[in-house]
Amino acid sequence: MDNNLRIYIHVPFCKSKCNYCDFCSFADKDYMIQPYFEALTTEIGLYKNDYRGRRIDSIFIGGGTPSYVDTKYIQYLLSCFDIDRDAEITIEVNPGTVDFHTLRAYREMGINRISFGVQSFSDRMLMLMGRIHNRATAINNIHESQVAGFENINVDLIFGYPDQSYECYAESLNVVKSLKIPHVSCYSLSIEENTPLSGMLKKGLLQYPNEDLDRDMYALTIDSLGKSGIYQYEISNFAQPGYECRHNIGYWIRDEYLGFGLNSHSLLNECRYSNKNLLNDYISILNKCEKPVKESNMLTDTEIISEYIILRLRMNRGLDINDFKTRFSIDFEERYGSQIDDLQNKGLLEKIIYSYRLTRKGMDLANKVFVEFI
Amino acid sequence: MKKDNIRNFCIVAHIDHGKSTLADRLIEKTGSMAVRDMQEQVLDDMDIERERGITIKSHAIRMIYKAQSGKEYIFNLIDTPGHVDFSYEVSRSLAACDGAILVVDAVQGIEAQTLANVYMALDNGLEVLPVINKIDLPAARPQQIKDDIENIIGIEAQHSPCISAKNGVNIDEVLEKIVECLPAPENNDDQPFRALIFDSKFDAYKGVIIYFRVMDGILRLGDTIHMMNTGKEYEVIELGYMKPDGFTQANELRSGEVGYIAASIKNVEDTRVGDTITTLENMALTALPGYKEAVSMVYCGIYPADGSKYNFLKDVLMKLKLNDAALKFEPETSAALGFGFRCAFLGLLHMEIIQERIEREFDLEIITTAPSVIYKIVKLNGNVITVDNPTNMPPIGEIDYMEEPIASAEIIVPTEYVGNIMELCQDRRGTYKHIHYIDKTRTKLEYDIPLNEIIYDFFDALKSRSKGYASLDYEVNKYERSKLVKLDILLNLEVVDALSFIVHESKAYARGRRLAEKLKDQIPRQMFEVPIQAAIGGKIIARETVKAYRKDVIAKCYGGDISRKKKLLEKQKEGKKKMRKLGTVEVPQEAFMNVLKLDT
Repeated sequence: MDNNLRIYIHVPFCKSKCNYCDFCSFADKDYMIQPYFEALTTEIGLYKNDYRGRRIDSIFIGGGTPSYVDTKYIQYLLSCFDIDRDAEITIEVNPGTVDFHTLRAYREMGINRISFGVQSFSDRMLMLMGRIHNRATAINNIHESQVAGFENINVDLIFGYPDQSYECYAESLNVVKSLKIPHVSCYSLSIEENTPLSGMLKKGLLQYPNEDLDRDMYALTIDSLGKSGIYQYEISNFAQPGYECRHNIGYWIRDEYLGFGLNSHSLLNECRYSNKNLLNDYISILNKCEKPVKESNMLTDTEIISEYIILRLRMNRGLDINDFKTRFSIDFEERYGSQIDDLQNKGLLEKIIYSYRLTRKGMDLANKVFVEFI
Repeated sequence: MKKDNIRNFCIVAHIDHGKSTLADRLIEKTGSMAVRDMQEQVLDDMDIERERGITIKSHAIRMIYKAQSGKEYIFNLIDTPGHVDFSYEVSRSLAACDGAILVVDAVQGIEAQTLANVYMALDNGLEVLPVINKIDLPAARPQQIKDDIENIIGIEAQHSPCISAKNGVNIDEVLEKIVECLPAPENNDDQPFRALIFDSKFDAYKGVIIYFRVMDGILRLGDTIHMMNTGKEYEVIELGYMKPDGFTQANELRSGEVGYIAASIKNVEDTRVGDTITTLENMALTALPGYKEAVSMVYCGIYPADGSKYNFLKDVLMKLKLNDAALKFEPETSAALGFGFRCAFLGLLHMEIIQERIEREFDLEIITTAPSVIYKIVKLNGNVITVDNPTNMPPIGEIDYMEEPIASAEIIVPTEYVGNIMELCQDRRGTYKHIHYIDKTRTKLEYDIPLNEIIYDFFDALKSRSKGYASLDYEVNKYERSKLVKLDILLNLEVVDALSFIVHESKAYARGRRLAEKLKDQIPRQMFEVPIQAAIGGKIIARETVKAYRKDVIAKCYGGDISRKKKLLEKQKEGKKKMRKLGTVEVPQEAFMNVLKLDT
């Protein structure tokens, strides 16, 4: 077994909830921050035997908005682990919740990667999305983080948002490029039920995004970032060579990880765990010093193989048939011959030397490929 | 001689005027059933009957009434179906009665089916007792209704009881009037035995139970009955009459009485409504008049939504047929929908009821094709064929001409909507016959309208153009020559048989275009562009295009999401299984259901 382990820590607090967001986070529960972190610390303690002695090569503090809570909480969390010297330590930051001093503090406590939830550099779009910041704040915070010593920076962008024009999105991409940021995640908007956004769409206050426009924006992302040396390495992720996110790649190559906090997930010994997703449940069960596991699902061999294929195909490097054979003692082409033929005929899948990967069209229609392996 | 202690009667009314509620009150007042055992509308025992407020099957109830004079009477209330689809069944129920109570809503007044039913009662020689119901409503206008009844129907109505069946007001008066105004049956005990079947149903323990009225003679337990039209013979194993709370056995039934027989009969088709029962012991020579075979008017294909449920659907149809001799079906195969059945119905309501019962009582999801009527086709070679399924229509080159069934329709409508309704009838290729002003506010319109226009959403259009006030009665009585064409829908250049239908030339273009538009919204984007075309003969009259899809991707997938995303993909895979594959095009079942649902 690989001795590396990745850690995810969830911080479910935000200054305000964005219109499109259905993540597990709260904008009105600041009084729970202290009890939450106490519970979180207990939880980390309960799993000591699972991470002790393993090489923790990545920690990802996500949310919610981790930068919304006091830096002392973050610092204490990091002190719980024996972190590898070369580890990637990421924190998610929303513009408008940090200043130079906070960023400097992050750097000093060992965090070496910042992921900014920028979403757009257009003030109008930011307002439609219900974000708390504007273009100037975002640019400012990014500069401050660079001054504070961060070089490994990610910016999240959303495209295909209602009312977002091609030009508007292109402009945001240009800002990213001009800021010399080495990593960009660009997400095609997915409209989740029970969000203010889906409500506005249903009421007709906003128009549903146009699928063709969305795909044009996606094509632009790949071309435009690629020309600036920021290459696609996964369906929604782009980086300068060497800046690919180690933590996230871990998910796609099915490395083991431990998730701490509300509604977090873990993969350990081919078993997927998920934590309680109600704040009170989570805290009260930890007060009793019990693990706050909501569900656990031991994966079958079939599930493992199907996860492997689907997750590998998300990445541009694709699925290496030799690695597949080594792991599962199965010949990928023999087992899935008819699916592969069909998908190749449809122009969704291609073979490059020993690897299968999605074609450009396959990136647009990835689910059509994935369902063939479910 | 009369049997003065018996009254056989039915209640006729337009839908919702309170027929079943009055029946409830009569049962309650005569003490035939304990109040605590009663549920609303005792006689309507199917869920659909209660919900829709209509009676589908005939029923009969025996009540004992002690009159104010002190004398006891046997009342046989024969409840009849209340819809035009079942007019033959209604006529047979009426023939089993000597009198009829006509219930008229004190607010709504006379409606189309009031007239249709009351005329049928008069034609059967029944004495009619009008009753004005719902006088508790603030808008009740009983005097005017009485005048209307006299003027329009031509029967005395000034002394009619004014009641509220809902609140139990003046029910006693109705009971007394039944004794006083409705005739007693003749005493024909000495004649050869003849009884009229007005309904039958299948009972899992007793076999078919026949409901009948003895017209002549006496029937005894153990007699061998002989059906004069179907020729079947059975020994009477059980005999009796129906009380509201169940069967009561008897050893004999005499002329004028209403009762039931159980005789280990396996098939309701052998006990047709309207047939005459006689006995080998006391055989009659001639059958009672008025027997007719059930005539199917409307046809449609019924398919299981899940193709593997074909055999289950077959069982379900056979079960329904046990109680419904008018339902006919035979296997049919469609390239688009797979294996199913071509089903024949008395009318549109009958069809809807069967569809609903399949889905509700048996929890089986079905797809039904657009309803069709029977067309007569005269070929150039002189052969005449009938077609109830568009798929079987011969090529245009072989057809000399076609004929379609025409219904004579009576519509009663508040005068302010007459314009709307005339426009509708015109639009549905109706031929104006007559207009009659019932009173200051209401008008009766008579039109000849092709049946294929009526089955195409006519009821809903009628209701929506009259704020729900127009009522319709129709009867198909002739075929007329008509310029009909077959409209085909092509998906990716291939004809989809399940979506073809026969339509008048003048309507084909608009309907084809609408269908194509509707389909476009129902068919999800595919890997490639899919043309949808509407065609008459070889000629394309409308075209829409389903664009190829460009996006189907889960953009975000990280640690926490993996299980959830897998579930999404699994769901997508399930959805794919539910698609019907037509050539290379995948069409969701809902598309068929939604497109085949009629609309204007």
